[in-house]
Amino acid sequence: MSRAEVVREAERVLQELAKHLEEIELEETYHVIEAEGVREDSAPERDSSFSEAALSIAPRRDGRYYVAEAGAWV
Amino acid sequence: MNELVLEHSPLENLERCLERIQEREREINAFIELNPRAEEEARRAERHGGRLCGLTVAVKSNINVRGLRATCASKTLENYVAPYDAVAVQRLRSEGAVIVGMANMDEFACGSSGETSYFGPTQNPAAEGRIPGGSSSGSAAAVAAGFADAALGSDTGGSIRNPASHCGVVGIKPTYGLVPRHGLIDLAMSLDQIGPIARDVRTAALLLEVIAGRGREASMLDVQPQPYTRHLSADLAGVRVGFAREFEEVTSPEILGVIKRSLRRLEAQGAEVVEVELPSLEKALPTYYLIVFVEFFSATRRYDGRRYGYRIEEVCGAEVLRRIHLGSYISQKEYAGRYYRRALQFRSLIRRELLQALEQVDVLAAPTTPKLPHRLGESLTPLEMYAYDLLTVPANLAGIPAGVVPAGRVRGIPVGLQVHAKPLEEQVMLNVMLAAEGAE
Repeated sequence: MSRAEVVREAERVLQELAKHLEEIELEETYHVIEAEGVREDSAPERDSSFSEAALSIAPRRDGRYYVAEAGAWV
Repeated sequence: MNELVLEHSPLENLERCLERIQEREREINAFIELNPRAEEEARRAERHGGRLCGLTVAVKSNINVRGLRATCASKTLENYVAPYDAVAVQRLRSEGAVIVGMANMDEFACGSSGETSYFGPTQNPAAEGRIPGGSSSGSAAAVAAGFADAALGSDTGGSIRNPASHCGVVGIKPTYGLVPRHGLIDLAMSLDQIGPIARDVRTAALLLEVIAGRGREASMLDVQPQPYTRHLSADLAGVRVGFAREFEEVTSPEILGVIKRSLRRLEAQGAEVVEVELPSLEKALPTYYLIVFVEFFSATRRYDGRRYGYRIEEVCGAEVLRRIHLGSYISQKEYAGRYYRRALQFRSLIRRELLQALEQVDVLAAPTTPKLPHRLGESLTPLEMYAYDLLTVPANLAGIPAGVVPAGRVRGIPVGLQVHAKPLEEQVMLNVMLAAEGAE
């Protein structure tokens, strides 16, 4: 069976399966979680010690930059 | 007694298994690789003993066994050698089990027939010329052919129970999370579960006892290992067994005849059989497959040809490609909530119905497959193939335990009785399976 045939057949399979789940409406329950104590996305707190901590354990660094070994594993 | 007593020493037992493999493996094709260190492991078992001392075990090729290839029966991983033992394998070894080899399976567990392996199909040792079922085809066939005393399989939608039924052996899918999945290469991680296959209920129960529960390793369920074999009993006085009329509507009459005889056998041993309802049973199959396509697509993104073997889409078989394509398509279209979200809603509904049915009874008995295994090589459409799973997927969707025990034969082909129980109530399931055992 060719790749194109597999894909065509797959779409038929999906429509056949999906139609069985269309017949009845289901109820959905939503849960509202208390947001107290959760930081606002719009107002991040900067942790000034983070970059120093990260750089202190970097295997290689160039001044204030972390040197990654991009591509070495390809 | 909660340990195994073999007739022969571990080394003699292994030699007997290897002789049978030598005689029939070319015909059955149950293994992808044999363990070159099996003899050494048998000698170690002789020295150290253990509850499974000398028991030979075949391991499905999607479970990591250190030093052996975990190929998932795919060209994608044909040269992938497992760097560690899965937790279930560690536990078997620590009790003296001997790993015979890596069992054949449907490619990446995508199949219900044992025919989609890159390493060739497996034959059914119990029904010549028929499929052994899948996807744990080699595990069930190895036990049925006497190549191993027991096996580990994995069950996402019936992959232990379906081949156990077709091959005339015992298979157990435990409660979701009861057996650590660490070291199992996933098909759909919200449904996958490792479980045992054996020739009799007692051996299967002992294996489950060894591999289940919390250990030193991280575990999904905080459950102590249970001594199932100590409490095994075929006395069913006071046990209520449910049977849904919806099972009758989808099962072939000849299989139904065998299952009804099994129910009468349970009644003769003290059980009360009552009718229950599962009105959404027919929704289980589409629900299951829509979830599996999405989770499988996600699981296969690591096979991009960089770290693990080949790029999966370039070398896989038609069924794996079909599922990847469908998972990708559903994931892209999911903004409308038409497929995956609806499937998750139905999953909740099916789980609720099954648990409500199980509130009225102790166990739910059912056929394992709606039809007999087809002849090897016979051409089936994908939907005809998926239909094998109709009666096994509900247990995975609900996360409940289900086991299969041989119940009889139709024209010489084995038929298995399936027994479901409430979550973590494997003991009552095993007791009912023990009472049904020996019907052949």
